[in-house]
Amino acid sequence: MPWSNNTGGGNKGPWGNPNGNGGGGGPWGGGGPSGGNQPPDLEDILRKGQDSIKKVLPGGGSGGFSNSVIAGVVIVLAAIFWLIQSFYQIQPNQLGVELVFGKPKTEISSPGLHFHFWPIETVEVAQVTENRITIGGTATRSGAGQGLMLSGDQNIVEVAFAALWQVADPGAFLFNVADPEEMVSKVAESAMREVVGRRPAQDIFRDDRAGISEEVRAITQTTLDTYGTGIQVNRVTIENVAPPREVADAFDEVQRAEQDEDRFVEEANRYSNQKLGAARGEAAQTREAAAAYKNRIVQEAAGEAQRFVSVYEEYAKAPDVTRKRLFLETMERVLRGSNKVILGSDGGGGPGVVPYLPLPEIQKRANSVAGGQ
Amino acid sequence: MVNRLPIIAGVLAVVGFILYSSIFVVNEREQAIVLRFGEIKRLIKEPGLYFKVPTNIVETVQIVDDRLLRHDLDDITLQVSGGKFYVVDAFATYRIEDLALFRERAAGNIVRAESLLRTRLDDALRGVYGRRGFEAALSEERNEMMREVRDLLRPQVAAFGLAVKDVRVRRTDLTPEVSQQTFDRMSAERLAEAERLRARGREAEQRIKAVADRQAVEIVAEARKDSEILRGEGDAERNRLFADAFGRDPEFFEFYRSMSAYEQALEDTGTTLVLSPDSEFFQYFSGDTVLPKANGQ
Repeated sequence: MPWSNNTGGGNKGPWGNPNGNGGGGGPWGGGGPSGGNQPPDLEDILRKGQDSIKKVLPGGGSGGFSNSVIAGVVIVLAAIFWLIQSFYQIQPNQLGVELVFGKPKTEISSPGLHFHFWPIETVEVAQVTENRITIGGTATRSGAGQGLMLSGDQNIVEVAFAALWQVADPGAFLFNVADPEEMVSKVAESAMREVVGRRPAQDIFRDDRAGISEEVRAITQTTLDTYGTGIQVNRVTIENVAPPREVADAFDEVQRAEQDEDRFVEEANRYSNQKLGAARGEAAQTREAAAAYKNRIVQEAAGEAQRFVSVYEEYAKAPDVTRKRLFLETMERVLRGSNKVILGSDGGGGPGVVPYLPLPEIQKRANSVAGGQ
Repeated sequence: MVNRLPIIAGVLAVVGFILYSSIFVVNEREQAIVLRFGEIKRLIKEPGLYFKVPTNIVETVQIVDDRLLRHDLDDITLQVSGGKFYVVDAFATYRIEDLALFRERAAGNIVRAESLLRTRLDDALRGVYGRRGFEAALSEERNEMMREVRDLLRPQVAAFGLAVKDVRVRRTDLTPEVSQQTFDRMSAERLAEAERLRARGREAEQRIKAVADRQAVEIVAEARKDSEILRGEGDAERNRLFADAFGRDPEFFEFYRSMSAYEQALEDTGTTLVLSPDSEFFQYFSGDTVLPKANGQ
């Protein structure tokens, strides 16, 4: 009697609560807004529960009736508990695998409500969302150079990358491998180091990140497949490839040198453009000057020749007169502006005049004339 | 009736306990060894529901992991042939294959088995790296080396029931001392590269400037050449024009040009001319030549 009583009470205690929620919704729902004095409410409920049990026990009169009632209640509660355990839900981001006595079924439980015979059957759920593992990020600098890798030419590079993976085969994922997440991380890191180790550092810095990513992904996938992890590696993304801090300055120096190189060349181009422009200008000027000279001289010559021809044509008509006239006109013009000394050469004056030229005097006068003009 | 209830309950409890202690479930993740008085009686590799003699007095069940397990071996410093050192992280993946051996040699204890595995993995790695040069560990040989370690490891750990699936080297790094040297060398290389780039820039600069200078000179020279040719053409044309014109009467040309030249040379220069009255210009100056003629006329 005390034992069955205990069992009944014990059973009712924890299980009655979710079940009793429907019935107890009244006092709970009313208690909340009315005053919020919860401790008395709880005590109240407990007391009510005890009362109802007591009411059933002595109120029934005969023990057989009370026992069967308890057994009935226990059975109903057990059935409810069993049903709750036997129905399960799979969320959209999950897949489930049912096991019969620990042996997995081949079919996969897709999202939705499912039923299984608990506890003969149990269910294991795998998350199929895409997961991301970051390896060697700069954020985890404290990890003593987790991202520092040795390249093929024995340089050290710092690589931060992420692997995106998801569960492709829940059965394999759940049961084949211990700690599959960590396995992805280790295998991916190993693959990355392997690939980096095969290449010279410059390759890794400059180009072919996509190639490296794909190679790492392929190696990781193959390895995980041979382990039977049921994991699919969707992508490996290289987030950062950088020289280690210790040599960053020297690498920056190269960048600066590249800039300098370009600057030198551009400066030279500037000089070149200036110089060539000036030269072309000068060349054009020289050419034009020559063309001008040619044209001028030809035109002048043509004019002069024509002038001569014209004069000659007139001359040919009366050569003697014209000749004389030309001579006299010229002499006239020449002698008009000149100092003239006329010496009779042999007028009969014996020795005549000694022709003395006061050269300095002449020079002076020439100077004064020049100065006057 | 009231007194019977505890008895029924007790019987049920005993039956339940006997049932409970006589069945066991082996999960997909697990395998099991059934021992009867310490003797290995059954090895269970398949998951499912199994029965045994009730209670643990006669038969005990030892559940053993049946998944692929990984053992990490981190930060071991090992020497390659030639005396240099690497710091290596590696891991081996393995499965407990032979339950009987595993129970006998490793006491069915995974920690103990791993410590046995660890020494052998360490040993195999050292052996394989010791036979290779410094460069090999970074090269294509890496896969070969991993396979070699695995093949070395397999028979050794098979002795205590483990089957090595794979051995992978995760990290192959330089020791910290060597790392510093490597950083220094990388720095030096980069700085050399920087200087090479700068020198290349200066070289290009000089070349471009020199080419520009040369081209400038060439352009000017070519223009001068063209200029001289043009001037020559002009002069030639001038000569031709003059020759054509003056060739009609060279004697008159001489006279005409002389007249022009006298005028140009002497006009308005204030030159003192000493003239003889005998010259043609003064032909009529003295009178004696004129009068007779006049008289004669």
